[in-house]
Amino acid sequence: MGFVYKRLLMGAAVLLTIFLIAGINIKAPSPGLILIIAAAAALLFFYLIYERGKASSKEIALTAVLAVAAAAVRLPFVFIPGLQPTTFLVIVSGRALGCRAGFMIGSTAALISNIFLGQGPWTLWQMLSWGLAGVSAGIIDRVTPGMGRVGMTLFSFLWGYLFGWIINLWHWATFVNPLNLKTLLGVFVASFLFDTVHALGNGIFYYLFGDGIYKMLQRCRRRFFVEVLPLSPDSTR
Amino acid sequence: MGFLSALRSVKIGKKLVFMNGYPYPFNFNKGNSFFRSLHTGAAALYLFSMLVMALIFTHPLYLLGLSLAIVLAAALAGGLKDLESFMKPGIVMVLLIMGINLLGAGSGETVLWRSPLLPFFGRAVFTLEALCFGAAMGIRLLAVLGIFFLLNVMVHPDRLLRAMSLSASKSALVVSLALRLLPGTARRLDGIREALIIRGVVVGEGRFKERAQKYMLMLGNLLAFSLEDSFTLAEAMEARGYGGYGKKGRSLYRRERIRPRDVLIGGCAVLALLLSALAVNTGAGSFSYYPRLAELVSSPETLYFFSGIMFFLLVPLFVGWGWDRWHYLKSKI
Repeated sequence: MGFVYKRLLMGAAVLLTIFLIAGINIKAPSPGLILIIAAAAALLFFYLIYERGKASSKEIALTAVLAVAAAAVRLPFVFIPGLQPTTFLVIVSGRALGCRAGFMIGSTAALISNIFLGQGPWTLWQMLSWGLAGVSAGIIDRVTPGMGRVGMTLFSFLWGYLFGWIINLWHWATFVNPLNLKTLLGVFVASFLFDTVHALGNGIFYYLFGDGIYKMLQRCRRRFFVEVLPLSPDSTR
Repeated sequence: MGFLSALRSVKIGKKLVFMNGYPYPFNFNKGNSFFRSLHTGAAALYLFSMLVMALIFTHPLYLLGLSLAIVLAAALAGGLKDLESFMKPGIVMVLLIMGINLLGAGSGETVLWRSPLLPFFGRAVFTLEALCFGAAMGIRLLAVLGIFFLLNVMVHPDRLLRAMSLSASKSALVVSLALRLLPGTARRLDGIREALIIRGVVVGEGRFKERAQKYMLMLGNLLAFSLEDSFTLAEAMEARGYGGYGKKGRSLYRRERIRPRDVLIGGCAVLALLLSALAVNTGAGSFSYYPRLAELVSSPETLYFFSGIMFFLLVPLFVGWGWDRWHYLKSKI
């Protein structure tokens, strides 16, 4: 396993070194490049956690299957800009299966759905945004385990905007000058309609289907994750 | 960018070809095969250096030169038409970028127009400098899009995943499994819809609430089937020895070889990157938009660096062009 970390770290180090040597002008650093470095580092960090964890074959298979479902539900809605049921499914999965699985489902859904829709500069940010949606849903479940339908609906609704804002942030830092509140608002206003459709879609999907799917996934989790207890001396007699 | 990806999704529509059993929007079987024969690392390094250049340069000359290299590479890979359709949603975004830059920048000296008083924004001042900066950023956006287009047509997803699996085995396994399962899941979704229609439930008809309920029925069935599948999949993985590596760890088989052409392309990419870093840090690759537009070529160094960078970007394209014409060259690299 040390081999895996070594490679991952070497890859990360090489990536960051090249970025830093080549890209950063000491007098005026490129904000777009800095944000890309930060996003790539965050993704690497989460992937490293996943690689370090003891993911069983069942967990890997379940993560892959849910990532496929999250990507597949995106495809029928590509004709309605902004509407992405993937977010709500990632949130439900993160809540039911935990932060690590939530991140992996979200980022994988972005990556594989874009293989069919076309990879672009948005892929990295979608991977990060959906991954973070899964992680935050896992955290929410730990902090407030009994959060009701309304609370989770609101949470999903907010992620519709957060998703758009994370992606917009890079767009603003890379293509706009000067970087001030006015231009930031201009960028947010440009995507407001799409973000609102996304947020409303998330809220409606979660309110109608969220709890049902959550129960389904929890049942599946109970079935899959078996804890092997050591035999007590009494039971061997 | 959310706006752009949303528009792109609509644009892609149903124009998909089938690659290794799964639908893909780009055709790998046309154009020059040179780029597709490159080692994944070499191709990625070339594109990565282009991406860094697109992000660090604000000089219009450098951005235009980079765009030229991208268009030539796309033409060589036989994807000019695909490039066009990939870029179309980007044009809307370019206009939007120009608009936002115009609206936010009051620091230019050459005033083109002063707007009447607007709520929140006050009196917006449109300057020539902001317009030019917006145009340069539009070129940057198109260049970034073009680089990702090249990634789509130059590197097959399977090869990218194979390269990824060398260091991140579990993550790559999740992605590979998901990639293989997606076409089957899409077919199953169709099957469930047909089964529901036979039972009198026409998905996509009725009021919003009815439609949503039917959609939920379909999604619920899909998830139930998929979760069962995952159980079978996990058992199949274990039956094939997944996780039982022993002390030595898992074994690896490297299918890709590094050839002279990979070293050439990788070397050119690194040299172009280093020259770009030098150009930006010495000021030769920088361009001042505010308060007044600077001269396009302010010093001879600007042209020297530009020529050097273009040379290293175009050499791989020239070799690729010769790859199809000179068999001797093909046999040697």
